[in-house]
Amino acid sequence: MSAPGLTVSGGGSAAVDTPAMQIAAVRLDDLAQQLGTLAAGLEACLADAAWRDAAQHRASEALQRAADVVRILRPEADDAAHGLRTAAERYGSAEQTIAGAQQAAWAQGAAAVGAVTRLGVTLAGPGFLVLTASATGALLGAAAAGTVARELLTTGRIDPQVDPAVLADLRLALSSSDDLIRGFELTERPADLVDDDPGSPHGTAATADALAGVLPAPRTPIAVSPSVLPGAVQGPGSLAGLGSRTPEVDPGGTQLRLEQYPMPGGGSRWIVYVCGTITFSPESGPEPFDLRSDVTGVAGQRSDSELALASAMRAAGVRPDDPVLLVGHSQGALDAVRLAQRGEFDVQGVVTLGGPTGQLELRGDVPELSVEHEEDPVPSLAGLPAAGAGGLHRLVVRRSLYGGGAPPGPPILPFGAGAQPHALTAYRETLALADESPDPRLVAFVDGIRPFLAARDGRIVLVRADRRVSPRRRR
Amino acid sequence: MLEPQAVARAVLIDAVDRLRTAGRGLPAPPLVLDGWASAAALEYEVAAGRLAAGLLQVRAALDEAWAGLAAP
Repeated sequence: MSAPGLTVSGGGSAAVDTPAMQIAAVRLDDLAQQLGTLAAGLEACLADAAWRDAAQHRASEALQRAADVVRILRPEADDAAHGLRTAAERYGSAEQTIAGAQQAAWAQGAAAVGAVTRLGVTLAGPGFLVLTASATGALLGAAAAGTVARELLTTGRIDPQVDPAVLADLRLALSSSDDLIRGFELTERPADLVDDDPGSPHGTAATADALAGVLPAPRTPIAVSPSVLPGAVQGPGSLAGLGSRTPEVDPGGTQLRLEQYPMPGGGSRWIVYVCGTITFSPESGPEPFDLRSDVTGVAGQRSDSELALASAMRAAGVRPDDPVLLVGHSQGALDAVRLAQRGEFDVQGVVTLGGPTGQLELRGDVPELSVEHEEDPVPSLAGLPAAGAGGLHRLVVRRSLYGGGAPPGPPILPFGAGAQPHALTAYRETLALADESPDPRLVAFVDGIRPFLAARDGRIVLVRADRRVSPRRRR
Repeated sequence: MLEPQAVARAVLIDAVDRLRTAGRGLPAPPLVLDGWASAAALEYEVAAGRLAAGLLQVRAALDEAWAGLAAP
């Protein structure tokens, strides 16, 4: 079975533990195989001359009966496995339908608010906007009070930033923002209610683009400083190995780690690890892994941190036809997916840890594993995950750190859990649990990236990237 | 003379016991969301029930076979 709290799914949601059903089906397959072995053993016994002895008649008859039952049981095990798989698939479809209805309801509500606001502004003038804003504020206030009361009653804590129910609403709200604007413009069509294209004129990418316009643009080149570590490195061997080599956030330190493994036929295989956001300062200083890169990355522009990643790869010697596995945490996850989308390198796998990447689709031939904690707010910032074929091929490992209960820590301190569910250390633990999962999709993913995990005798290149900011702009 | 059969019997009974243990670990049919999905869950439930009962029958038959061998 999967580790407690760990679920594996396609890009959609998974309220019913369908992965556990799939795993049980695999166990039933195993049971059917064992029954086959048992049947063969019984047949061998019955063929033994000693069992045909008249004195053993009763025993022989009983053995024959056992063999007959085993023969019947084998298809029963197959039927049970088939039933379980079909039920899991149908539950998955039902969940998708429910999620679609929920999305449509939110979108409809947002579009209606937008349309009513437009009507009010037309009839009563711009002052109606104040009325709408006040009403929205009152509703949000009531919802926040309800959330606080619910959290206090159920967990004794106030930690909305790690409350899965709050984060689920955040996903829906973000995904409905384009409907609100279209409602105001009176351009919302029925298809828009379920169509959540981040690249549409009012999608999350456009919103992030507008936000990026507010932040100061650095317009400075990125300088990368690679340094090769002495000695050889062996492949990470496992998902946990990938997590342990992903750089921690270290202001002024290394943001990228590249591992180069020579291939027998020439060329090299590369594993590239990317760290998360280092500074949330709105100033665009020398650090490219900053807030501006977060926003521009969501907007779909080439962020400075993505530029740093691509520059570091070129500086280290990655050639366009070298196989590459990208591993990123948080902003690094966003950069990894964006770079893989651009197709400049031969990316043969992407592993993301707590990234806002749910809406980004990769080509079907690039396997993607996304690890998300239910209490981590960052993946929710992507809104609802893409539900098309491109989104569903994304393999998602979800884990609840607190199992619906209270986070550890002082019981009365509001926001006491901080952003712990987003921490790289927590994701490393989850990767170790994922290594233990027998889920066939996860096993297949790991098998697919095995040439990277099992690579031998490589070298490590650590890279520090900086914006070349003029001293005048430095603080 | 009966030694090889006794060994075979022990091996077989052990196999059935292991299968019964595996059968016990199978999950109960999960929450029913709608009739369409529950039909498949029912297929699983019925087959899993027959499987568990059948494994008990195999175990009983093997016990009987062993008793027959012990008292010819």
